[in-house]
Amino acid sequence: MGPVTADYEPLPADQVLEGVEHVMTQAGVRQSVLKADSSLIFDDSAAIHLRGVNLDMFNEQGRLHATLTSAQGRLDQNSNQMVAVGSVVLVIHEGANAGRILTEELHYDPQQRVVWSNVRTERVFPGGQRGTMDSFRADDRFGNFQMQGYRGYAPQLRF
Amino acid sequence: MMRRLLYPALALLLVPAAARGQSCDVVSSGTTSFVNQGTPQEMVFVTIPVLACPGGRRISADNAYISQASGVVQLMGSVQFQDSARTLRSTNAQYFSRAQRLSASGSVVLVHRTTNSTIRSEQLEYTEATPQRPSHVQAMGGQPVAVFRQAGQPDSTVLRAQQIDIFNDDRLRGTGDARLERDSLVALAMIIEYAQSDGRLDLSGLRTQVNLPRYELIADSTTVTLGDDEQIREVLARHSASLDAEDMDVSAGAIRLFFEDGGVTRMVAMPWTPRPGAVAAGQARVVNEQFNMVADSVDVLAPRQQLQEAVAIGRAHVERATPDSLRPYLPEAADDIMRLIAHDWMEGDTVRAFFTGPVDPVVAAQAAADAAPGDTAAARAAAAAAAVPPGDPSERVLERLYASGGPARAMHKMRPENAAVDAKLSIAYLVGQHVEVTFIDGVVSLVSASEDVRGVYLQPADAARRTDGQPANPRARR
Repeated sequence: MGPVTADYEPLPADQVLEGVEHVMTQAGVRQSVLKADSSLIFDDSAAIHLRGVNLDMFNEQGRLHATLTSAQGRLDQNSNQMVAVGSVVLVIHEGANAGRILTEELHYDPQQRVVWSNVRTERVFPGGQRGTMDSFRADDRFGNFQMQGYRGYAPQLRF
Repeated sequence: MMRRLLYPALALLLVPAAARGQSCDVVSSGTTSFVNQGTPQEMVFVTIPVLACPGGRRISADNAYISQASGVVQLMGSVQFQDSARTLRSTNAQYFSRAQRLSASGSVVLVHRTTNSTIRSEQLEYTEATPQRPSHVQAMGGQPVAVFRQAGQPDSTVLRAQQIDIFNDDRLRGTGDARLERDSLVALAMIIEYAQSDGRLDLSGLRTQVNLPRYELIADSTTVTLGDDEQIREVLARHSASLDAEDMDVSAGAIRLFFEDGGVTRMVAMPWTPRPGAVAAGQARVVNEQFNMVADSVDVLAPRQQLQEAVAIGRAHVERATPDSLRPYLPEAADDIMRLIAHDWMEGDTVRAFFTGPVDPVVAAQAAADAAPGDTAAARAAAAAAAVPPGDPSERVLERLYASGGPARAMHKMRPENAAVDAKLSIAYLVGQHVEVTFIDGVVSLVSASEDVRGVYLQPADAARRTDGQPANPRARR
């Protein structure tokens, strides 16, 4: 634990890492790269608390597919599951769901290749149109995307 | 009176041309699943969707399934599809975006919200207009019913048929046991078609029927033409037509009725070329309680709906119904003989019958007073008319029959001069270029004929003895 003075907020962790970069792979293929401004590690927990999160997600071709940023996050060292919390912005760079997803909490399971959120989430399309959903679940390529209570712009619904 | 069958545009604006290719907004939904996005197998499932689409269209259903590859949208359960003016409700619906066709099934109701015009059926197909085709609404199954109303007007046009088609919001067709009701008009046919642009209602199929107050018209094909004043202008019934009217029955190859102010002012019964293989209709036949007219064609004029003249042209034969019968006196007569002499008749190339209102007793009394000295028959007829109470002014009576050409032939019965009411009848048979018989109150008043007239006058033996040495029939003139 670092020095504690009246001017510094105590960090309730056993270890604090700065400028962490965590590369997640599957079968040797890079799936995502997690960067955090700082990481708080606890001796009695497998969860790493992240601050200043930036997650790059890659497709099978190794191309950057999506980027996630959030104020905080939590990474399970055993499963690599991650939860981004606070001002979460997921930018999908390509594909039918290109655009931004804004929420306060977003889960990512690299093993299952699933992204989801159980709280209100907003979608912003490349043209600036918006849609809102109560929750969603998608694969990390966003080819399969399931939303609950969606309302707003829906480019796929053409009549 | 029948008003024009104007009906509002019932075809839905599925995808206005300006909105084609634009996407809808989701107003609310349950679960929305995009599957295989970015691939040819891309599909979208939405539960309880409410969509707001370009052009003011709104779509809702229990479930929606969209296949981007096939361009097919399936709406399942409690489907509601509405545009700015119309609403379609059904159990299920499919929209084929590439074919621009909507197929709705299950308790389909299409409503024009402003006028409350509706179409109800079990199935409804709607094909949008393209440069190559008109828009087309087809309702079928479950005894389709279309009710057309004008905004702010209580009256309606109701069409029932096994299948109802609307083309380009302009042409309406009911197929299979079709029945159209509009004001006082009821039309029944295998197929009923109405073209709004030219105000024409066509009925076809065996034994089409048009019912109007006081008229029932039956034929294998009928056309009703409407004027700009929203009233029937003309009805043409073709192929074995028959008319059952309040005051006459007509049968002919074709019957044409002309209307003014909602009433018939002229009726023409005429021949019509039969359909291939069909039996040709006989001569036109008009039967009235006063006369029976048979000819190639019969033209009845009734301006202001007052029977004025009936003209039978071509092998014309007209019988005048008379109360007197010779049957009791000639029990041994053969049927064809009895048919010949049972009623007064006239024949010729043309026979014209003229009608007038009931005899005014005052006028008739004056006529009796003015009768020429010695013209006892005229005086007696006029006096008899004068004794009759005034009749219904709308009632029309036969005033005169005129036969010409052919040559003209006439047979009529009459009682000799000064004979009692129950005296035996005399029979006059005349042949000439023309023959004319005038009646007063149903009694032969005057017979005139062309110079070439010839014939016989048969009197009962006792009357012949009384008139021995006198002219047989002083009322006859050449």
